[in-house]
Amino acid sequence: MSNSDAFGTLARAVCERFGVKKVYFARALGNRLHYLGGYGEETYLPPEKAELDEGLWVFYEGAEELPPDQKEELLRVVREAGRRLWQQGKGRGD
Amino acid sequence: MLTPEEQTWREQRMTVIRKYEETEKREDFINDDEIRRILESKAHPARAEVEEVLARARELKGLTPEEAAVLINCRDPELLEEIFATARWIKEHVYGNRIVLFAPLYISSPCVNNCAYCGFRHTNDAVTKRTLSMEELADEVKILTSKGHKRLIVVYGEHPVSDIDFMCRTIEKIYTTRNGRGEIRRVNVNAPPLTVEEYRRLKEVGIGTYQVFQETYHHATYRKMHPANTPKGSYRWRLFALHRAQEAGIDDVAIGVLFGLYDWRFEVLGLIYHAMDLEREFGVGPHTISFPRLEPALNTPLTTSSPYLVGDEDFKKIVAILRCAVPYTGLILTCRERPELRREVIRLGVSQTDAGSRIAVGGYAEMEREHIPDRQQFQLGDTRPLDEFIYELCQDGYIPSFCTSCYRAARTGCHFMSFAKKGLVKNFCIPNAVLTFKEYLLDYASPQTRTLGEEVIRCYLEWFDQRMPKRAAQLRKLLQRVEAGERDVKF
Repeated sequence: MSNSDAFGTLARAVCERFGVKKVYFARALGNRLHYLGGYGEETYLPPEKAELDEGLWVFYEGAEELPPDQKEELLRVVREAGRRLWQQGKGRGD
Repeated sequence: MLTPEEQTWREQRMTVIRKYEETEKREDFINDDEIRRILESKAHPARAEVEEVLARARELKGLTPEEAAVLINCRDPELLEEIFATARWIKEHVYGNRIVLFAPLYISSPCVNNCAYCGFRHTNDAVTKRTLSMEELADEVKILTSKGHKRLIVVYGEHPVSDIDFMCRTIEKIYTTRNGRGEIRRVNVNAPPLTVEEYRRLKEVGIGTYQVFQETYHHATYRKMHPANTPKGSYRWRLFALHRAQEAGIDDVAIGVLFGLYDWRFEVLGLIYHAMDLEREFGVGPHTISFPRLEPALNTPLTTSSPYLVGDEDFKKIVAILRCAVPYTGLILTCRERPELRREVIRLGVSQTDAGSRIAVGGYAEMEREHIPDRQQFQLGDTRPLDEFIYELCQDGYIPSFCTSCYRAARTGCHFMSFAKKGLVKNFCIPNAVLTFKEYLLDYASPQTRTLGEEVIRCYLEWFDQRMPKRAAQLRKLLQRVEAGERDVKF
């Protein structure tokens, strides 16, 4: 599985578990946040974002109604799994 | 004449290119005979055929080369108006009524190439070649940001002084140069074709779009314009330049033609084939298409004597046909064109344009000099200040945009195309245009532009209120933050 597919799979799992509309991951390259992979239906509203690791960001949409503890859990899950994929990808030079 | 050092560098570059040519497995996707055959087979399209193609264009799935040839060969004035109307409809449907603004920044002009049409060719001693120092670069950026610019296209010659190291250093310098609230948020690059490894390095500094124009897709003309013993002499090295960029992970790439070197009909189909091949291999077509026309350049007779110079009416047709054929792609009109023509052509599907431009290296430091022929690659047709151009856009009902949001919100490459191809990217473009235009009005606009601009924003807010109340509410909240002094607020 490519790194992009792996991030897509993770995003899909997060959308299904937390009921958010869309999740996607990006790599920071200077000013640019470069799309890595994701899943879900676009809301066309400003996404929320968080840095998961140095240079790795997650964007998520449709989480406004999520209780704070659920949002915290969402970020914990993506941080843990996202970092793992990120490190694997770096190893492969992705 | 080239110095011994320049000759050595050029030879090293040529070695890289020759090695590439021996190993490149891709097939040249420009078949001159096939393009000619298509143009001839559709030489006299019937009215019904043109109407059928326009109906297809409104499906926003793009046009085949055969379909585009039908429009290219349409000469009926009434049907031409229909082509223009379709192009306008597509642009508004995909991007909305916004026009993204940028400025060109020429960083270096020395070049080891010797292209027949270029004022910067190395044998043209009438034009003084120059490279900005880091201090001069910062000064140019400060002048541009003091006018309100947020987005640049930087231009480099192919020369040892502007190699990949220099490119990376200058782009980083631009991003880190601050001027009060002023900053450059997106740097697009117009530079020579690179190796995959060099593109990887460039990707790391966070560029926006990488732009390489084929200049002409016609093989014989290409050979005539670009001497064989120069890097630009290799057609395939250039044709697959953006394929290599994609291989390196640069997923926003831009194509273009210098109209006037060969028959414009052929070149339009060349652009369409190029877009198709990028899409076939990478699933992502060009982020933008440019269509500069040959303009006079000092001591460069071809720029005024070419038998293929494109007239204004054909130019309008080119823009409208490209909009119909590649609907998801940004179309870039430049200050090469005269103000009155720009006003007309923008209506035909243009989504981005430059304004307040100077194209001499170091030209912004001498802003009051509209033309510096002995330091320019060619002559500009529109040297109006940015604010004056913006005022005109507002008069015509457009919303000027300084948006740089997509590439900083990971809406790049295939992700960006997933909105653009459905005609939905305007859902980001319009609110971001409102937010960035508001910044401009607060920080840089003249009193008359501010008054008219506020009216434009009010109209767009009403439009949003009626159609997308949830997004309108979000937009109003973000606008309040801009009014309170926050900057770089975006959807």
